Amino acid sequence: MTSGAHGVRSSRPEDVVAAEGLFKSFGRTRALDGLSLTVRRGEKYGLVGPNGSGKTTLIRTVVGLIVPDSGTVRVFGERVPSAGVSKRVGYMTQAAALYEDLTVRENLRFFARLFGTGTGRRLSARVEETLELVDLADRGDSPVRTLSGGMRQRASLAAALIHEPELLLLDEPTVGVDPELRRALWDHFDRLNAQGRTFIISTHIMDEAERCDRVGFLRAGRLIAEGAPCSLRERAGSATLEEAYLWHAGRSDGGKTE
Amino acid sequence: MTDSLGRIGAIAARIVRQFRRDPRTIALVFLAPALVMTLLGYVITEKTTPVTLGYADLDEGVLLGGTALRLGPLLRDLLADEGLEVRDYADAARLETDVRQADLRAAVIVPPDFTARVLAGEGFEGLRLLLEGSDPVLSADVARRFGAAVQALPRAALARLQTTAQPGVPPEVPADPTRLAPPGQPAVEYAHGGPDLGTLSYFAPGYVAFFAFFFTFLLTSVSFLRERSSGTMERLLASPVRRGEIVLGYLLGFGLFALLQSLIILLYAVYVLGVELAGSLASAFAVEALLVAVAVLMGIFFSFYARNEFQVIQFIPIVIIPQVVLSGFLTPLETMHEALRWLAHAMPMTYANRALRAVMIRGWDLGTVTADLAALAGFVLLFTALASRMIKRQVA
Repeated sequence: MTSGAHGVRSSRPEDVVAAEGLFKSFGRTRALDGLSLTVRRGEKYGLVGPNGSGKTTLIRTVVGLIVPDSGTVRVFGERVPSAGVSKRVGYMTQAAALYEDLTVRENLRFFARLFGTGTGRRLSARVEETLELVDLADRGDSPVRTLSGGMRQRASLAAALIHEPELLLLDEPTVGVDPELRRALWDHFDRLNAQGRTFIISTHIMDEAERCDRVGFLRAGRLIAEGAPCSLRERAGSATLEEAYLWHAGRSDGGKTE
Repeated sequence: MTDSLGRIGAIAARIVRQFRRDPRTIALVFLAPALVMTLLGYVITEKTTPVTLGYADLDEGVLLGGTALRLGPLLRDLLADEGLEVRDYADAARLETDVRQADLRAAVIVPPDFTARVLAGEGFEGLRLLLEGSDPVLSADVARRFGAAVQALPRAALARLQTTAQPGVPPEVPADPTRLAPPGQPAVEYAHGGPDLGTLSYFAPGYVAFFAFFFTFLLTSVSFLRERSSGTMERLLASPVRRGEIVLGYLLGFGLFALLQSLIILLYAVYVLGVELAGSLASAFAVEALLVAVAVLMGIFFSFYARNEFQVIQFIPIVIIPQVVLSGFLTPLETMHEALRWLAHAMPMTYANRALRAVMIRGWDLGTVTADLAALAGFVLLFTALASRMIKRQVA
């Protein structure tokens, strides 16, 4: 196995995220069970696994919203949580997480100010640029509550992008989004990725996982397999990622009982 | 540092902007207190419609030096002077029936030998005040007026005697006048306020404190709850903003509205409702500012114990009403059970109330209420720490 293997290893400059031996329990449920993860610069990394496999906990831990029981998370070589890191990280959840009674533009201006994205004209320019980027320039003055689901999701993406983060952590960004919009969102991700931004995207839609450079299969708080989608399929000898997931899951269960 | 101020400012500005988008809430915050105070002003005003008092005067009077003296009609005048509407009854039995049937709230029956007894120095024995009695407030009021009239009777009687006395014929006053006129009435003096201090004026400081606390607490709670339930709190926490900055931003944003509200209530109370303000508006405002800060911080803190707006409403009986009941707003602290007094001192509104009364009714300056101000400042520090800790716990 390659970089996903456990073991002591200093983080390399091309590693944007280096998480080592993460454990986290909520009450009696173990959400992260000795998980390690490395994501390289410019990569589009997909986290795939069923509900409760630890995707959200992992992402929230990398963002710094969860302090793990043990293990460390370094982002850009710095331990999280850190204000310096949060300026370089964009975070988006499946909920739009915007102020409903404010307009899209007002929401963006607010988050821009929190991230210290300049003032005055520079801030305005950045807001307009971001609105363009997610194709919401014409709805900038609409209150968020009047937006359709798809527009909300794009507005939410804009809020995550407002401070031009180098790393984007997207937690199931396309849940409840129709196929057409889902494709549009992924086109956005690809475009931003082409600009050199690193992505960690959790999903349980296998089509989406296919569009990632690398995919990590999560199960019960552990990374059971990792690699490019095609290599995961090849190793499992299956035609689809879904079958590959089940094959790898079965193998990891088998390994445990041995 | 400038970054930090910028972030605090951004949060405060956002709250103000959200407020402006919600005209109904603005109307509630600014107009509801004025409306409620106006209504209360009408309800608790002293200028009630006079109570009708049945009056059966059976007094036969006495002859003094050729003139008849009857104290019955004299007492009747004095009762009328006390603001009671006196209705005459010839039949005392009928009068008693009317009171028992609640057709009348109160009645006075003057016995036939009333004047004779008074002049004989036997006092007012035989004089009866009959109260219907179902409304204790009203009964007490009538009894007080009756007492005042009776107290004034000897003096009035003496005056009458002197004016009606025939020249040359010394009035055959059977008893010496000193017995007729009791020794001078104790003089009543007021250090503050005075007999004309309206009930509304007395309650005004309490209302001002209550409204500011009530609205600020609820609005902050709901707003912070939404921050958590909509997921924006996650975004805030994933940004460089610090927990303390979130708390300060809220303090600033909501504090601004709460202070504006307090100012409107104070001005409305003083200039429209005619509430007396012995002290300076600025001093009252300073106390308000501290109380409002406590309300914002408590709002943030308690919002963590609510999962939805309905549960925020449940804080009204848990957090707000005990403060209203125990803060000395309705009943003086001194008359409370000792355990309750202890509890009262655990509540910020108690200190705000005391300071506001001192400042608004007694006209004292802030220097005299430093202990209360310090207590409020203590609550500010305590709840700043608690609110920040709750936000930290959000980061599990």
